[in-house]
Amino acid sequence: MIKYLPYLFYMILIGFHTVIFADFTSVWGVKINLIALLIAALALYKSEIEVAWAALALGLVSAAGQPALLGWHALILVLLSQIIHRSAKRLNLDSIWSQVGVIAAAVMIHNILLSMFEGFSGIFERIAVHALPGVVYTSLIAWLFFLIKDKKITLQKIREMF
Amino acid sequence: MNSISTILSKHSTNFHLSLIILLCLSLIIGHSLLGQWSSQVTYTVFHYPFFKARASLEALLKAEEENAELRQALVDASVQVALLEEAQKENQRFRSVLGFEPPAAYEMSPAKIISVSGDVIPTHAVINKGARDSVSLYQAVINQQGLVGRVESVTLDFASVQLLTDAANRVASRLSSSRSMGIAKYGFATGMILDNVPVQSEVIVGDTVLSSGLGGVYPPGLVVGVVREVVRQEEEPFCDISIEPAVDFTTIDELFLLKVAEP
Repeated sequence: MIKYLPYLFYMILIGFHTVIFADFTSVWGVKINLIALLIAALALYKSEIEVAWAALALGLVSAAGQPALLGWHALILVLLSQIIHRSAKRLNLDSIWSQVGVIAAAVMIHNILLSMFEGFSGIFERIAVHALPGVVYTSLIAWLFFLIKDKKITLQKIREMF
Repeated sequence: MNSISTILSKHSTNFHLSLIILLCLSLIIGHSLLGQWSSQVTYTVFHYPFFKARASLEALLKAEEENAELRQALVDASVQVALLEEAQKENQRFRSVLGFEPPAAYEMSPAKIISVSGDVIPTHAVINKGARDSVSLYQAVINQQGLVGRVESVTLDFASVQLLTDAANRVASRLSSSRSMGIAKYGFATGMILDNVPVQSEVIVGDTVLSSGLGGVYPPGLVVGVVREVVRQEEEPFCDISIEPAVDFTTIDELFLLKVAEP
């Protein structure tokens, strides 16, 4: 049971991000795509089944406000998680840059699909103004996350800098 | 049975993935029922607490902003009160020098509207104060915007207020800058007008219309409205003056009953 506690935490985190954090951290309307970031990160490290269930659950939480698109959101995330997981197994993704690259690709696909959900009128403008800058923003967060995870950025190092 | 569990364990991954895809597809196909139910559950558990927190935080921030504005308004009002007190003292001194009677002071007691009545616009309101609260007949009723009406009937716990929008309610008024006098009244077709003002009177659009205190029902100096339009017709002895009422009668809520203060 304890094994599933992190997933509950992720679901709460997605709820918190969707309702509060996304707006507070948005820069000129560009938001962090935490759901795609989380699913991509889980797909890199967790088993196929675990990440598929996680994608379903997190997809349901993230799209709770759109009942008509709930299934689509969940399906996209499940497929995305499987693509990333299978690619990660075949490719050598040891370096931070390759991992960030995979996450960036996942976020881009997800952002473009989300833009398509909003309708095809003005889609290119939405992709250029929100989806692509969103990929850069989310990749930056992913890069910082991997730097912290690999202990390339630590509190001690930051203290030493100043 | 054994063979089924063997197949399931052998193709566990495929089984899980198929189940997940099936769930997603059922959500897509049956989105009206299943989607709404799942959405409701996830929304209630994972979104609603954060929405509540966000709403509280926003209310708190707004209250803080409002508090700062009100503090500033209080400072401004305090300065104004000090100036007015000074002016009042000066006025009293001059009045005593000239031998004028000092103006009456008024006490206000708050009242809440229980119900309103009227066809198109409210013309009468029932308030939660009555004879037990020393409400008396013809007592003037105001709100923060200006003159609202007068008490028409009183029971032990309630009173009925005849609003200025009732055609039978008339206020002896005067214009604040020219001091010309007239009768303010409300008509369904005309709206609020100031009647009986001679054509030779100086009437400016935007001038404030105040109760004159003549007639003894309404105390002097209460804001009735502002002049909206003035029409002077040939061979007519009086102007047609249209007034914008100071009070928005469709949103009245808290009222104050005016009473002459005990000396």
